[in-house]
Amino acid sequence: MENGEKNGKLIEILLVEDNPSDVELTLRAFKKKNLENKIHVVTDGEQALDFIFCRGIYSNRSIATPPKIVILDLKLPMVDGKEVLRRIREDARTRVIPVVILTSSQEESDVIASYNLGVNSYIVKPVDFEKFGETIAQLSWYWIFVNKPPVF
Amino acid sequence: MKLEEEAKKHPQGRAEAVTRSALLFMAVSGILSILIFFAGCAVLLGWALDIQRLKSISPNFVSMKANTALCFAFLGFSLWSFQSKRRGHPFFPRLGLICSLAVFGIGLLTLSEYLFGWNPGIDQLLFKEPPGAILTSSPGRMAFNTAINFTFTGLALSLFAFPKKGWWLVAQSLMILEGLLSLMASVGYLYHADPLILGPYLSTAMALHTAALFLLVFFGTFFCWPGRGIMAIVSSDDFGGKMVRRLFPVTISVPILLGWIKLHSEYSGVMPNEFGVSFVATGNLVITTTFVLLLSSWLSRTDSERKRAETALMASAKNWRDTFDAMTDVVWLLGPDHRILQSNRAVQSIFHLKPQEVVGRFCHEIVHGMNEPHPECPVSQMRKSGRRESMELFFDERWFLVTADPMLGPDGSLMGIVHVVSDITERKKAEDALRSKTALLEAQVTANLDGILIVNEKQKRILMNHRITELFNVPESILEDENDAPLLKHVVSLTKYPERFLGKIDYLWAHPDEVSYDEIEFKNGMILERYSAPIWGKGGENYGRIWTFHDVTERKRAEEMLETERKRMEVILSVQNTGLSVINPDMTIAWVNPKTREMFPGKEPVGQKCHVFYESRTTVCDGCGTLRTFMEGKVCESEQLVPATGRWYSIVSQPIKDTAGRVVSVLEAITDITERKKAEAETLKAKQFSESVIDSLPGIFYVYDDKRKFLRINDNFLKVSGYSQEEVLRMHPLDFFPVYEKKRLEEKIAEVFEKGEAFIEADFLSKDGKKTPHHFTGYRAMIDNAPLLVGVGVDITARMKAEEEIWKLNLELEERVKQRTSDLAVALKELESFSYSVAHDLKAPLRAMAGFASILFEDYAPKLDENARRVIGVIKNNAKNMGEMIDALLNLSHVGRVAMNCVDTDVTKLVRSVCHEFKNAFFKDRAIDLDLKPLPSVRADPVLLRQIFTNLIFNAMKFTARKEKTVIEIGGYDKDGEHVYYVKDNGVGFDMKYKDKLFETFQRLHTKEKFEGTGIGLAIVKSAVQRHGGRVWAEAEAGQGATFCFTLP
Repeated sequence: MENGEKNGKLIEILLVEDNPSDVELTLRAFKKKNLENKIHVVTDGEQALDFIFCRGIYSNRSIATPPKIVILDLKLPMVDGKEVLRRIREDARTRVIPVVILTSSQEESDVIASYNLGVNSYIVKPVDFEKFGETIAQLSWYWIFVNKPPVF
Repeated sequence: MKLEEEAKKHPQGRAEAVTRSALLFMAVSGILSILIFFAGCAVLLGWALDIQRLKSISPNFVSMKANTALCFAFLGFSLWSFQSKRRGHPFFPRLGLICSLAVFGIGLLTLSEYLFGWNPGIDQLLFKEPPGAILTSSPGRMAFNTAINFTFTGLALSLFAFPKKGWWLVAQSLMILEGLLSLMASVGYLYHADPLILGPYLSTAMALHTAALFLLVFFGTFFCWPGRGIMAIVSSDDFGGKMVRRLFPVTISVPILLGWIKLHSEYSGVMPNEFGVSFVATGNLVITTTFVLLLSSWLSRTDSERKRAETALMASAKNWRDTFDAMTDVVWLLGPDHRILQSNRAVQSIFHLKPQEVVGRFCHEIVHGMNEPHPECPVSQMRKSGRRESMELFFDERWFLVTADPMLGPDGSLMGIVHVVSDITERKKAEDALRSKTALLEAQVTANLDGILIVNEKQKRILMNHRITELFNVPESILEDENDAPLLKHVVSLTKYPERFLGKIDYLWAHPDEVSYDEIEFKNGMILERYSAPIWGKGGENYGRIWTFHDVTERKRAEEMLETERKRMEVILSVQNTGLSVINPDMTIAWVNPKTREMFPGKEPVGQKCHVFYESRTTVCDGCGTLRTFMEGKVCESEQLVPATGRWYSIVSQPIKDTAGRVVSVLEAITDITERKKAEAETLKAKQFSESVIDSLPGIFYVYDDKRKFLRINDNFLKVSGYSQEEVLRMHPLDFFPVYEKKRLEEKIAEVFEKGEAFIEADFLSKDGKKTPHHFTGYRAMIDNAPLLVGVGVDITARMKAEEEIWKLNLELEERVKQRTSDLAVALKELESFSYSVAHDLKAPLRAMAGFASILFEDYAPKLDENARRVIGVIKNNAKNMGEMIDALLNLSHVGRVAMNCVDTDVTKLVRSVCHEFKNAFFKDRAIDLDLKPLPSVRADPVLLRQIFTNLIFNAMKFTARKEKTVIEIGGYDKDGEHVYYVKDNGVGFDMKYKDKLFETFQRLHTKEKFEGTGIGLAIVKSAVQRHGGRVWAEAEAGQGATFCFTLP
């Protein structure tokens, strides 16, 4: 989805995940909630940044239309998840974008560092998929429909 | 000698030879004179007192008349006064002359009475005789013959008094007549003849004692002048005299005796008259002849002896002649006119003339070369004086003594002159030498402060110096007197003990060889030391004696005072408690006090040598203080061990000096110091010990006072500092430090003296500039109330080096630690990332497995049969399991890795919250009886602790699920310094034999069917507990329950 639009609709969820199995599982979960349209997947940090900052292959996107939520895995090739988060938070234009870290790491240090960087939420990927699906759906529902995003 | 002496006493005149017989005769004469005098006086006494016996011996005899007696008295006195020894007397001979003249006068008067018949009355002048006395013609008148005798005797005696030859003969003739008369009278009495009566005059008969006395007078008179007239022969020593002396008694006595025998025998009828006469004649003849024969033989013997003597004399005369000729002195026999009669050969050598040439010439011709006698010619002088004269003569470069001796004939006239010329050059030289020596001696003697008196061998003083005059206050008169007696008397009178004074003189007179030394005390208090020694000549002859008198009064006074003082000192010293002894310069002990005797009992110390008595040594002790005192005059101390008593003594030797400052003796004060010595030895030992300790100190040792003056340092100090002992003692402590240390050190030193101790580390500066770090200690010690700093400095170079090493090592170590830590950190980090990876990356495929299995299940559910659904379930289960295991492992590793943050934790509160959580979270449906006892708080990591309790309580809850009632007790207590916590449940328990397996990873004692769990809970508990340093264990009984305990320090 190169130009940030999907089927004419705005991308509201950016999923940054490198593991395809996890991507599939996650998409399946979103699908159950009928959110598959609003999600865009990038598989590494660089792409994520390109998307958010509307550069590279996403240069025709508009920075004025950021995603409503970024779901970020920590362990990413190229640019690491924390770095992405930091970049997001650094830029004033993107600072307010809600970021949710979805990772299998339970490390306290990861958690604390993430929160220090300003992550909005930190979720640990459970092994049990069903559970996982539920979690994702709930999460998404909240951020998209419940939470009031900042208006730029 | 005696003869000469006697001859001197009886100056007879030159012409009289004095022989032994003469002396005897004179002595007898003297006695007789006295006898006569007293006899006369006795008869006078008889007349005075009318004693018949004295007057006429026997009543039938005629009495001696008073005048007779008087005349005898006069005669006796007269004779006595004419005795030769009195002839020089001014008084007596004249008196004697008067008496004898008086006697002559009386006799003459009486004779005239008889001849002319007149009576001047002299007969009765003295005493009255009653008329009719026996045989007395006129009362009181002496006999005619008596009168004649008195006339003769009186005249003779008077004549004897004058030494004219002619008168002597007259006197002697008169005396012979007198003797005859008196002899006749005496013999008459002897023969009982009638007394001689002359003529028609009825004269008085001579009394018996008158006759006897007349005989005595006869002998007395003749004997008085033994050299005169007949007596000359009688008393001479030659043959004539000897003969006469032997014959006369015989020729006189024999006839009288024979006559008496004849008469007696005639009277008694033994011998008839004729026979008697022939007897007398024959007897006379025989006796006389015999005697003459005897005498002749003796005479011839004597004569032959004399001849022998003559020959010998001739020989000796010849000898003498030869000697005479051989004499070196020129001897001439001069005639009275100075002509040379004889000369010996010596004239050749001295005057260079032959003896024949000089004979007949005048002596002065030869000797002086003059025609007249020399003005000082000794011959002329001799002729005047009658004695030997001499003069000295210098010619031919030599000195000669010319002597003239008189040669007198038997009559005393000058017969010849013996003229001797002798070479006295040597003598003169000797004399000169002697003179000068004498002058010197005299000068010395005069100048001498001692009185000097020199006497010759006859004790006549030769020389006396002025000092004697001074000493004895000798008056001028005595000085001038040549005689010694007055001087001696004067001096003796001054002495206190004259006998002693004189006794010595007499003794030395008897022992001329001896030297004497004594002291004389004088009445005026002066004390003189008198020394006397004989003066010997070169040949050993005694020239006399020298006496010196040295005034020692002052010295004596001083000696006395000294003695008194000494006695006083003795008394004082005797009471001392210290042993005292006085030592003489020769090291003999002069005196000891009683205490010394007490200390050294046994032998007598006085007189023994100091070192012999005390030390039993033959030589002076080493280090003898007394000896040093003698030599240096100072007080010296020494200590000696006396072997006899085995004790130590301190000997203080003090000099005793005289006024000149010389040491005359030494006073030793002896104290027993054995105890002190012992203490000293102990002290010395202690000192040596401390010294050796100080010396053994490895560091530098120093002591200095608050004036920073060094009092003691050890050898190490010198070694390390490089200075010498003398240098250090002059230095200040700060001198041993470099500039940058000085201030610090000064402060430290001050601190020591203030506070008592301090220490400092500083660089020690040695003499060569080397700086060595030292650790110095300073300690304030009070010694004799003075503060001293005592300290030790230890070379800390090594330590510092070590410290540096350590520091370096430490740094290294730290580096290494840092390295390790960083390595560890890196490792840890790696581990973390590993864990992280594990967590993250391992779980992803699992999730995929489980997820897709679910998808499969969901999406293809209708197409799957029972088994397929079961298989999918198994896949999902296993994935889930693996996920849990991974989680559990991650947890375990987290527990083991995570940094511990120990804080004081309220354990009770923590457990309560855990339980609460559990209750609410997991087991809300169950009835759990939770007994939570109070738990001790502990310092631990709360997170881990929470984990521990969580796991344990979870287990407790899990394994009690099957029971109806779950009882869980959680408690804790302190034991052995540890906090012990337990969780007790009444669950299913376990078999104790598996108790060790409980805590291993993934070990389960129950299958999953029975109980859930990964089997990692307890492993986590163990790891967490061990991280705290505690222990964990469990006790259980199968089916009854289990108690899990762990300790925390």
